Amino acid sequence: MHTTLSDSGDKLRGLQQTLGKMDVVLGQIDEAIVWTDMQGRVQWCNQPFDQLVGQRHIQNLGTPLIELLPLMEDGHQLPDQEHPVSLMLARPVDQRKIYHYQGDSQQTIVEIFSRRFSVSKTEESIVLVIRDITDQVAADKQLKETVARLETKGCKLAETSTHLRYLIDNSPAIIYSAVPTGDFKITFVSENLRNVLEYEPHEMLGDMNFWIEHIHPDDRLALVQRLPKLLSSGGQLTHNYRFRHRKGHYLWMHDTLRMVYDSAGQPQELLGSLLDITERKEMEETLQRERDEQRLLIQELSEARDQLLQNDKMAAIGQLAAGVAHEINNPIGYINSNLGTLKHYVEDLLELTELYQVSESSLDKKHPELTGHIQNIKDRIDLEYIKEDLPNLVRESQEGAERVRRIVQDLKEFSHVDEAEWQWADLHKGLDSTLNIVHNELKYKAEIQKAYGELPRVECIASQLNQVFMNLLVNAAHAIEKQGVISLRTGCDGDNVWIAIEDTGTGIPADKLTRIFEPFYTSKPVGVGTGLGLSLSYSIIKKHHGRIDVTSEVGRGSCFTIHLPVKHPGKTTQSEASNL
Amino acid sequence: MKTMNELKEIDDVAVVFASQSGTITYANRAFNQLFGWAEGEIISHPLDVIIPKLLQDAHNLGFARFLSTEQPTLLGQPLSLTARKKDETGFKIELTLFAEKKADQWIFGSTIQPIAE
Repeated sequence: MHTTLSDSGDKLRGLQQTLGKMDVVLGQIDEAIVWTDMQGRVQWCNQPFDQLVGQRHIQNLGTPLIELLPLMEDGHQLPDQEHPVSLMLARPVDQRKIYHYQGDSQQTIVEIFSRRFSVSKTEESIVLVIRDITDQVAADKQLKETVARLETKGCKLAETSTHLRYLIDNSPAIIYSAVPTGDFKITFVSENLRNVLEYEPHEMLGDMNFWIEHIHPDDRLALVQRLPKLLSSGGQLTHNYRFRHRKGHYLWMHDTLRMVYDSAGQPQELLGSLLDITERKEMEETLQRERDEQRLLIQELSEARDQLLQNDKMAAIGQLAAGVAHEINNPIGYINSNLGTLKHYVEDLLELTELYQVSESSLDKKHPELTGHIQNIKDRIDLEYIKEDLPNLVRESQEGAERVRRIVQDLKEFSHVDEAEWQWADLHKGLDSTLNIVHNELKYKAEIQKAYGELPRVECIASQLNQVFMNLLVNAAHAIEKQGVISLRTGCDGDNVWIAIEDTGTGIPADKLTRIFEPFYTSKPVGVGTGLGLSLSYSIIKKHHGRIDVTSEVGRGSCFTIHLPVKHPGKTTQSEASNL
Repeated sequence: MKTMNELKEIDDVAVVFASQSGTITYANRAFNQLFGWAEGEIISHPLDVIIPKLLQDAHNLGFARFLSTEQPTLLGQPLSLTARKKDETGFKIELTLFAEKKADQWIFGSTIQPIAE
């Protein structure tokens, strides 16, 4: 087979093309490739090599590689005999090693693969493939640092997590979480559930109803009613309720519940903390009790003060009355006594006068001028009328004196209430006797209707209660303008008795109803009432540990009901009673 | 960039031409004197005869590359190189390459000056 000249020219052109392409392709790879002869001079290098050493391609050709590529190892210039080219020249053993290459402007880290090989039957060459691994080393270093940092962080995180867990478990509150739906499945509960309520956390986690079922039945409904709002609109809910301890007793818990949302705004879970507030609650209750007691005491003190003021007034009146009564008592005593004597004298004298009148006819015959004189006087003084009127005058005087005596007696009694004593009294008797006393005041105004029930004897100061009855009865009569009915009803209700005094009078307007027990408050015309009757009655009933209720309707009448304990719970002392 | 015609007029500096196949087609008197060749003796020799053995592979690759890509990398700029005389001794020169395409064929020309060592 013959090859023509033209054939061989084409062939040559084809080979040239291939060679050209090879040169281009070898310039496209990242690694720098350099090829030397057995003197270590550069025979060929690719574009990356030119860039690495920073010289024009043509200048590199023929230059000893050691000059082009000075290398460093461990911070020191690499001796020529240890340069990869020298090593290859000395011994044909492949080598892959990392060096530092000091370029014109910067140091790079390079991995150099070197190999010695035969390029033709007679020729040997050395090729070096140089890879810039600066970025990779930096990345590796960074990665290692990052890993180390992460490991440290991981350790710290684990530590923090352990610490957090420790904190949660040793917090005074029981921390828990639950699914954000209504069924309240507990997903986590801190260890100190054991310390506070003595349950094991798994008991609470396992049982969906555990939580609800351990809440005090009286507190359950209120909490369950509040939950839907938290579930639907989120926010925070705090609630106090009693939770059953393993040993059966209840502890007061302060529960703070909060809805937690994920980044998409969907409810994620309910977070709660339970704090044992039993001690606080007990303290609060004690405080509240003490506060109530104090309030009661203050109220009583205030009333006592008012009462003292009132008592002062009453005592003054009492003293005045006692003084007046004492002063009147003696004169009225002898007036009374004298009136009795006077009555006898008048009777005697009138009897004598009768006799004289009988003897007048005989006297007329003997001494006609005398009888004429007598007749004149008789006519002048109207003896017949005197005889008729004199006994009446005496009687009326006696009656008047008797009334004065009675008033003085009443005043004395009024001012001598300190003689009153606690006694077991029949209230019906008291009512009846009081009715008798005020009968005069009532009889033209009202018809008395009695509806007494069965009453036990009541421990009381009877005279004082009578005074109350009298006040109420007189008031009832005053309330009736023309003619009406006063009804008295009594009854027993366990350890208490009640007495109701009802009238069909004018009634009390609602705005006045609250004031009627105030001292000196009166709705009666000036001079009729002192304004003390009801106030005094109120105090008396109060001291008897009872109360007065009043209902009233304008135009229909009023009803005062006295409630009293049968047995006096704590007797006031004599002196207290005397102040009334 | 000088044209081939301009290069041919130079007589005080060595000038050599080569064809696309790497064959020397022209050398002036100054060239022959510098490289030690007789008048016309070097014509039709491959360029290899003036290139040191060490650089022949690189030359072949670069030459092939230019013909393949027609992207010049070295043209028009002075290059410091080692050249080979007829007696095979190497010496430093400064070489500037020029190329011109005529009737689909590349013609290469260069000026060469020795560098005093």
